[in-house]
Amino acid sequence: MRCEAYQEAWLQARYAEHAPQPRVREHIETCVDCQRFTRGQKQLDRQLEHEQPIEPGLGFDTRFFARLEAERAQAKLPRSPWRRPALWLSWASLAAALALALLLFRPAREAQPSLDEDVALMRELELVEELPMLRKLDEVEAYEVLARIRSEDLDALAAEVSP
Amino acid sequence: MTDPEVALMVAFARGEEAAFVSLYRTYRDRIVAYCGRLLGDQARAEEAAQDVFIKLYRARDSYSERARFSTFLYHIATNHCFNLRAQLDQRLVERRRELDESAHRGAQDPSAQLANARLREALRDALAELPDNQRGAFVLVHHQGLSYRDAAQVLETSESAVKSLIHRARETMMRRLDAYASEPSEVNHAL
Repeated sequence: MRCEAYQEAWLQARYAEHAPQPRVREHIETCVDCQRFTRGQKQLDRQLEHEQPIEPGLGFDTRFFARLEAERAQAKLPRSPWRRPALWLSWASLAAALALALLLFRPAREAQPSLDEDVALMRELELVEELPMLRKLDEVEAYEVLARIRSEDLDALAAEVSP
Repeated sequence: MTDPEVALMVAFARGEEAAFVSLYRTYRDRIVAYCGRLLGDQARAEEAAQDVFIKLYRARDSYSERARFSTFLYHIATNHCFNLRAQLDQRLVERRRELDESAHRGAQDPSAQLANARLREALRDALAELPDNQRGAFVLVHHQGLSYRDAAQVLETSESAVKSLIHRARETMMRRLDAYASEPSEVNHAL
C-alpha cells in the first residue's frame, strides 16, 4: 500500500472518530512522510477551529417566506395561454397553412417583366458592373444628356475657355 | 423507508405545506452554512440557500423516496452552488492575488487579533480555491458531518473517490495555510 492510501485511511478513521487500523497505525509510526502529513493535518484542524461561523442573517426567514409566497401565487395562477404547447402548435399550423395558400394562389406576374424591373433587381444584387448591356445603356443615357445641351450654351462655354 | 424527513417530504408532495416548513426549519442553518462554505460569501450564501429551498418546493412532484432526504437536499444545494461558482471563478483569481499580498504583510504584523482575522480570511480563501469536487467533499464531511458514503451519494461518486478527494483537499489546504502555522510541530506525536 502506498503512503497516500495509509493517509487516506488515517483521515477516514479520524472523521469516523475511531482509531485507525493497526497496520495503518504501524505504517504511520514508522514513515517519516506520513508523520509529517499527520502533524500537518492536526495543525490544519487547529486552524479550522478559527473559521468564521456562517449563519442566516437578520430577516432571512422574512425574505424567504416572501419569496415562497410569490412562488405559491405563481403556482396557483392559470398558465398563460402563450405557454401552452398545444396552442403554440395550432398557431404554427395556421401560419403554415396561410403561407401555403399565399404561395399557391398569388396573382400571376407579367409574362415578360419590363427591362427596368430587371435592371432594378440586378442593381440590388450588385451585378450591374458585370453586364455589358448596362454599360451601353449608360452610354446612351450620356448621349441623351449631350443632345439636350443647346448650341448657344456650347458657344458661350467655348468663348469663356478660349483666350 | 424509516427516514422521518422522507415522510415529511412525501407529506409535502401530497399537499401538506406545513411539512415543507418543518423541513425548512430543520435544514435552514445547515444549508446556509453549506452554501457559505462553497461560495465563500455570506450574502451569496443566503441567496443561494433560499434558491435551494425554492427548488425543493418546486421538486415536490418529482421527489422519489430512493435516497435519504438530506442527501437529496444537499445534492440540490451542491449543484446550485457549483453553477454559481462557475460564474465567480475569475473573481477568485483576483482574490488570490490580494491574499498573497496580505499574507506577506501579515508575516510582519505582531497583533494576534489581526493574525486571527488573517487566518480566517486565509482559511476561507484556501477553501474557495479548491476544485469544486474537492471542496464539496471536504465541506460535506468536515463541516456538515456527513459520512464518506453519504457524501459520495450527494456528489454522485464512489466512496473511494471521496476518500481521495478529501485527502487531496486537506493536503492542499495544509500547504496553503502553512505560512499561518503558529505553533511548533509536535514531533513523534503523530497519532
